[in-house]
Amino acid sequence: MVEEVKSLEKEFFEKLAEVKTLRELENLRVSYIGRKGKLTELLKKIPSLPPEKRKDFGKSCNRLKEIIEEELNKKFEEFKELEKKEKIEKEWIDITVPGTRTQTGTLHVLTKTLREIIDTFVRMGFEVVEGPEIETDFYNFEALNIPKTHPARDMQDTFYITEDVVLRTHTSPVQIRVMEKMKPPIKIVAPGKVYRRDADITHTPMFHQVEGLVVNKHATFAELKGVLEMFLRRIFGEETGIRFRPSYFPFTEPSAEVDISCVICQGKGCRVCKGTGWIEILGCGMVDPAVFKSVGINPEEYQGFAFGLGVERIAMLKHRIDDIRLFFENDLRFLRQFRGIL
Amino acid sequence: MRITYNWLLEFIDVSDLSPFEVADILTNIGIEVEGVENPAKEIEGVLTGKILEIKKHPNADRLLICKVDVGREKPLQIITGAKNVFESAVVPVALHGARIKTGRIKRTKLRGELSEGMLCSETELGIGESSEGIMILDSSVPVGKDIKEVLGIDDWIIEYEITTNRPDTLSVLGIARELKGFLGRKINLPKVYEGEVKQSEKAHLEVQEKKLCPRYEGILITDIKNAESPLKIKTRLQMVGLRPINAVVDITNYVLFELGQPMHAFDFEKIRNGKVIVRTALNGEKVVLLDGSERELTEEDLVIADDEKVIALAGVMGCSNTAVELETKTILLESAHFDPTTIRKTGKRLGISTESSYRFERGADIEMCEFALRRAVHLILETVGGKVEGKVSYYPKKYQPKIITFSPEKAVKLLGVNIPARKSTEILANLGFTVKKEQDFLTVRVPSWRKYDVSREVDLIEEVLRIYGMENVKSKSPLFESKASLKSDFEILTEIKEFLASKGLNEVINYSFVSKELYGYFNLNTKDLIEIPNPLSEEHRFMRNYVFPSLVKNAVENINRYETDVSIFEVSRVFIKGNRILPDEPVRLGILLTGRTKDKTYTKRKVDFYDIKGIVESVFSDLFGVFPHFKETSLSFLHPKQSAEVSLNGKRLGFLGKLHPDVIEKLEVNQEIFIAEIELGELINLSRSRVQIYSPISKHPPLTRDIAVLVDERTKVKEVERIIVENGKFIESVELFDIYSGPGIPEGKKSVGFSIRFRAKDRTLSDEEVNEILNGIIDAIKKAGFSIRG
Repeated sequence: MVEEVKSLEKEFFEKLAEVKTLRELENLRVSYIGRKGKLTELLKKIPSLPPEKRKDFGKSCNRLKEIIEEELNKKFEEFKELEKKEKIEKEWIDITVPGTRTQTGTLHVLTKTLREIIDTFVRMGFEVVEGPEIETDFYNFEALNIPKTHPARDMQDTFYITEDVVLRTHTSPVQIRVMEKMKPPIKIVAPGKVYRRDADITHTPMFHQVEGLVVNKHATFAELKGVLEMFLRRIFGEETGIRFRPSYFPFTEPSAEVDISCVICQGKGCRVCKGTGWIEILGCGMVDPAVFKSVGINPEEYQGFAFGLGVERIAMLKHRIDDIRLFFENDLRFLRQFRGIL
Repeated sequence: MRITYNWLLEFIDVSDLSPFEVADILTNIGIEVEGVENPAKEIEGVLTGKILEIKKHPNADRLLICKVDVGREKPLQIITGAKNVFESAVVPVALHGARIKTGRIKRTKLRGELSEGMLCSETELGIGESSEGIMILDSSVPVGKDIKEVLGIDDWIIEYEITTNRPDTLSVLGIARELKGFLGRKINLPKVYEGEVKQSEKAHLEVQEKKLCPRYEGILITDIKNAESPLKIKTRLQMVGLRPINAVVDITNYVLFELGQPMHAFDFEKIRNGKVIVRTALNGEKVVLLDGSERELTEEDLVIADDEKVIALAGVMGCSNTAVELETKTILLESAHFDPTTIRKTGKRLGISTESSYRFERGADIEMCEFALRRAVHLILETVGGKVEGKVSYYPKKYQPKIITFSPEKAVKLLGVNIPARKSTEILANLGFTVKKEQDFLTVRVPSWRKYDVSREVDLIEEVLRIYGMENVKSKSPLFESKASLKSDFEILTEIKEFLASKGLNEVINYSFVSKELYGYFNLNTKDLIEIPNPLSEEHRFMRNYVFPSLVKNAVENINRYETDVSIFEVSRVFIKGNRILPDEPVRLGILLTGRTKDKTYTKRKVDFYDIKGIVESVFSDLFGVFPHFKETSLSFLHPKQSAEVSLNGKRLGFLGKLHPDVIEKLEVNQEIFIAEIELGELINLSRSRVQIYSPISKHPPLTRDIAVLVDERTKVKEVERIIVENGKFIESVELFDIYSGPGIPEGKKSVGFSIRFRAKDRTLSDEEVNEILNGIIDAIKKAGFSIRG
């Protein structure tokens, strides 16, 4: 009888080796240890055996049952593993297909430039204010020490709406509006659109400026230099060369123009800097006493500085854009080049 | 403005400095040098030569064969096509191997005959504009000399730009003074006529406009032999950009560039009765100027006239009726001073700008009139001979220098740098100011040539600073009083732009200008717009009061460039005419969608109304946490069935929709365009004070019920939703999940499915309770004339 168990074991292992699927494995289980399985049938014979043989036979049967169960479990786990692997294998996708996201957009490069400029000043503690784009002659010229007969009016070709109303030619009138409203200490920057009657590769009839104004009892030319150097190095890099050159604006005295070392040739001299190695980037100066008088601030008590810069110019230099008109043509092929919203 | 380096050396010795070093100094003290150029840099191997003999070219009618003596053993044979050559003429000759402006010269054969060089025109030597014929030199010029020496073109042109407040630097003397200010060296004044000049017997001056002409000096010279100018004068004038005319005229220009004093020469014999009157013109008076143009004057113009006619437009240009020509024998030289504003107005009205008017309108030096006149007389006598007959003079009110008090401490306080008082004094003295030391301040007298731009202490501080050197002021970190400010509209608008870009839109920036034509596409009238009387073009005539037309223009232009999927936005002010002097400038957001949008990862679908509505909803709710109200609207440029007005708290804030098919037809595009325009400034204001108040979160689970309602095709979903919300308790949310029409649904009807979520704050709702509420809702729906499906 024990031989019968042994041959059953041998037979089981032969069959097990042939099993290929979970279903076959289940069938195998049923055919050996199921209710009518071969081993179960054998076990049923125990009561009919002589008592002295029962013990041995029972033992070997139970041993075989344990072996079969263990082997079946092992096989089952193997199949499970395999099946999982197959499932995963089937879940292959092409990871080079673009990801699912909403369409991508862009900020205008001038918005990005303006944001960077304003951000720099806000970090220095400046407040951002804005003024109207259509201005009176008083704010745009008179209060800024540019009377009707002043030759400086030729410097800026103006769009006149009426004799007294103009499209502002600079953001400087915001200085006047701020000083009329706020009491010193004042430190503001004013971004915005300005208009001049001019159109070519470096001029458009509308462009953007940022004006800055600081008024208190102790602002000096040395501080003006400090603020602008800090600003320009943040925008153009720590290595940027900076030069202050005496100049003239009716609303500042002393006045200066500020040059940076040419970003194209690093100061060696090229077409962009006309061989000088320097590029004019902004105008500035100490607020003229006449301007203080026009807004009722006592120039004996207060002093201050102001500056103005062109946003397009900075964007052109930073991004090597050689035609200012591109900013306003809104060609998608241009706009899409300035990816990255941050 | 141009001067030359050699010319400058005659006024101040800076020969130890290169022209480039001089340029750097000037730029650093406020005279921006734009270029330093040697016009003769490219000229090499050009000698003077005398034409000995001229023959016709045997094989070419238009060519001549010249025998030219260039001081070598044998004369050279040179072929030329120019017609102005003659035997014995002295001309510039480019030898074999020479370099001229147009390239290298080589010995060559022309139609079979040898040419050993080339005869040169002015342009080929880089001076003047005349390339007509060969340059003919004075017969006294020796042969075999380097042309650069002979012409004086081995010099450097220094080109600079002045700021409007410094007309005193528009001359060689002016630049020399600036250099003196920096270097402290002395100025060498040029030779002038020093003889005594008595009152003229022939010329009579009458100044009627004493305010507009505070000074008038004139000298009458007889018996001149006018001629071409000497080479030196001619070349210098050409180098600074003037065209030589004749010696007398050239000398007035030469002195103008030397000393900055505009001058004029009249042919005295053409002045009737020798009378020179300074008066204003008569309205409608006509003159023919030296440039040949006829001009009509007004009584605002100042003129020089004789008894019967205008002979010059004062300070601007002379008239042809008294022009000095080669035949002229007697001249009246004028050196006067005119009111800047009058000259400026005349020049501006007539559109004339001359070297003379340019200086007068910015302000000339009244004290220079006589010196400049005597300088010109000296040069004229030296060049064309003649006798000084006498003078006319009018200068009733002598120049009174302004005296300014200057405190060195004030300079220190404003500049933030410690410039010693001694240094300031030295700088001002070198610049020509007369400085006197008082106890703890200085008194400073302003020289006549600086009276226009220096009148206050701060102007002197600027003088000290620019010579002291801005680079010598050590930068300081600013001392700021801190003040925490609110986030500005600018910063909020920037964040809105970032949000819209992240929603897939490309930001555009358009000019504020629009045209009648553009508005015409949308049946919009331009009569409410602010009009620019002097636009650059018709395209830029009006200031826009809407953003969207510009966006449509952008879209059409991109479509025409084969970019048919356009999703763009712009944030900008628009201009609304009101009753006040200045218009309102509200900030608007414009959005435009057309073509396709991204669907899945790589597929696209056509944009529709709900895409643009979704973006507008996002701006309101995702950015500002508020929910706008949409209602039907009728705007002529929008599709009447696919457009809506957007409002918040009953306030109209904009509109959106599909462009009307008629507009699309006019635009000649083949695709639908959706636009929106929202008052962003208002939206920011409305939400500035908004604070979200917390509402407690329920700890109890929700129950959800779905219902499908059968309604008419054109019933609004919002209407059904309203019935649900108004007729149920404990409703947490109502979500639309399906709109269906088709098989199983009667013709003209649709089924809308809502998922309703119920929840109580204080307890768990039971199924029975919720079913009861739902039944109430269903009753209300039925009462409204709809039915429940399924």
